[in-house]
Amino acid sequence: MKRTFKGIAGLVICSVMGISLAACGGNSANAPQAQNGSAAGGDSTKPVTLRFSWWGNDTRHQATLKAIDAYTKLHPNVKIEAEYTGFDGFYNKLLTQFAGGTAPDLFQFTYEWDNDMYDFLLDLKQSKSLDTSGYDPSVLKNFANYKDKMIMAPAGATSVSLFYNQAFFQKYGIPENTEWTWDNLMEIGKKVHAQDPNAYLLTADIDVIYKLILQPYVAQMTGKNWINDDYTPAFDNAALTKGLTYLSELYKNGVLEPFGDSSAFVGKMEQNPKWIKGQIGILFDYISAFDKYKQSVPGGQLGVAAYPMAPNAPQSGNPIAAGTGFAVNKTSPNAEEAVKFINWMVNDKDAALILGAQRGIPATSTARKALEDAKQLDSNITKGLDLAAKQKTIAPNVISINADLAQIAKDSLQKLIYQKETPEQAADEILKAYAPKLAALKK
Amino acid sequence: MKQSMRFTNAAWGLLFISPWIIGFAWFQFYPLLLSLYYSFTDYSIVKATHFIGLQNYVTMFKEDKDFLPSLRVTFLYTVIAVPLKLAFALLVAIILNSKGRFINVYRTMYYLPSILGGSVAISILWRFLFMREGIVNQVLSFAHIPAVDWLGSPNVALWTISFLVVWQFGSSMVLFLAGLKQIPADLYEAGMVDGASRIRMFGSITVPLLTPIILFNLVMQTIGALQEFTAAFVVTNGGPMKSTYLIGMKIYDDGFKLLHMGYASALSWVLFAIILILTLLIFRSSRSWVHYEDGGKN
Repeated sequence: MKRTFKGIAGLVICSVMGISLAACGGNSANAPQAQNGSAAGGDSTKPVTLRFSWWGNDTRHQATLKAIDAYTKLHPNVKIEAEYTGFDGFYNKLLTQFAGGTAPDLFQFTYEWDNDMYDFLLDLKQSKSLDTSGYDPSVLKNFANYKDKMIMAPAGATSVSLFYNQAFFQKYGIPENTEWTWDNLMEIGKKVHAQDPNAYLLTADIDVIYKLILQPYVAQMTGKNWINDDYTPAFDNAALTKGLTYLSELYKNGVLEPFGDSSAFVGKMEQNPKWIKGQIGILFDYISAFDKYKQSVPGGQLGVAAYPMAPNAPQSGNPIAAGTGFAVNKTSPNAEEAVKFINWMVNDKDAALILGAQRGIPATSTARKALEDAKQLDSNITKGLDLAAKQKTIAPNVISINADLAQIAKDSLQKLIYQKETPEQAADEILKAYAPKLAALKK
Repeated sequence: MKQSMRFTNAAWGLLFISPWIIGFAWFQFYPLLLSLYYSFTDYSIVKATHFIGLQNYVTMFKEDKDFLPSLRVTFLYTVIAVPLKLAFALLVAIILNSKGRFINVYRTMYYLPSILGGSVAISILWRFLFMREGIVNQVLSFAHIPAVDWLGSPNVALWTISFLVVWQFGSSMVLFLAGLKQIPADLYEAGMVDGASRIRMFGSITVPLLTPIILFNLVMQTIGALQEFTAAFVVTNGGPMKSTYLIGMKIYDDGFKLLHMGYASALSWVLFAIILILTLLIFRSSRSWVHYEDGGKN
């Protein structure tokens, strides 16, 4: 307890203080290194190892691992190292890997990251190994291409759907063929909660509230995307206020599960104990997530219905998006082999049968036909897509899903939900904060 | 002769610690310097980097409406968690300082939570314990105490994650235990002869002689609390309404979610400066309350 103790204490304290700084320093390789990635092809028997990373749930992991097995049997010279996780953190990890020069050769990708990742990705148009003839031209235009490059090979088409617990609907006398509008969602939700204060018609985390409730609700009024292509908000104060008022009413009327309870399950609504216990009737998510909700709902009784539509809305705000697919790291020394593997995954019949609809309904005609012929398309998934396809929609754009804009809106949404702000105040706040951010993004 | 011997000794010494030195230089010191450089740029991982001078630091204080509230939350958290944790650690150390049959088993058991530490798994466990339908509320309901919205209420959530840290009292507790063992028994004997009560002895003998350890624990825990990240990130994700939006989380969000890595670096350096100043203040104050047996002269 004398000098030595003071000395040691001082040393330990100094080293601990520095930790937070080192955490931010990260790696040195900041700018994407230019390399002649696509040129590296070589002969087809040379042994190559590809690192392939993707996100998803267990069923998708199993299917993808099987596909890798099948492909490496066909091409014994190719070894594929699988790196798979859940969606949470996938994007951050991938970006950090790019910054540090350790990114995988190929990976699952979504067009939502186009703007951030563009510089790192191989232009698939330059590659002769990818056959794009099976894609619908609009799919290529809206989801595969960005600026002057084709940066993603879309894997499947998906859209937002309304999943419901069939037993819950029976219990509260809700007809399964209800055509959902925003108004009857509110009315029926009120009745459910009045009947049982522990039950809620709907649950939603902050991402779902922003992306799958507020944005489509407003889009059904305006007939446009969230943000116009010229970087101006596509809505005015009145439309936004209306959307926010509706949202706060959902909470006030007990239609939506209280925010505090659902906030522990952001991105994993299937783990919400109320959903598992059957005390929640409906949730909104992409139809490709059908399996995980089916597995978590009591008795596996999960139904699919059309996403709510306001009567006479000019569009649904719920486009069918072939937004998920595969992209190639342009610095990969085996880029051409990676493209060949992708080509097999999206076009080959056997691959289609193995991969199923784990990334949505296959985006190429050959793969879709293979699944249809083998009667392997889950009827619920096709139903969800068909329902979405019936409604008029417009093609989504990348600026509408910007992370900064999302953060601004989500902060105000929380103040609204906790009743620290009125819908009018929240709308003002969002629009005020959007203006400088959009101006900066436009530059 | 003697000189060269000293030289070889030093060389050998350096050689032996070189793995650590290289590791430190490459994984800590270099990133540290780099983050200082980045803090003057608009580094974003994905786009070209420009030098922007003090712009990040200006933005922080002038434009960022989350920065000061987030600092406030961090201080509040520190003020709640650190004293609670130290008091709890001292209490357990005093109990475990007794001579019982299985005392070593108990000591190990009480240290266990600290080994599990602030890991993600424990934080997830915490989330399930404290959610509205979690075990904590169920236990309370047996005692007819109404359910508390531990994670969903902006006024309560910060306390909930503070408890998570208090629960990891082990390392402080072990130091206190070592300190308690150092206190000469004859002081207590003298106290007893003079008719002092146990509380009096605790206040006049135990606490003064433990002050060096208290100082060390206080400084270490304060530094740790100001940098806390896992609990807020996993248990509450900074919410509800940013009531647990610690500065560590903000740095993460700005850096990795919004890709403003340069700005996040600047935030880190401001945090570093704050920690440094606070630590110096605590040391300065220690002159008036820390008691060294030898008067601190050695």
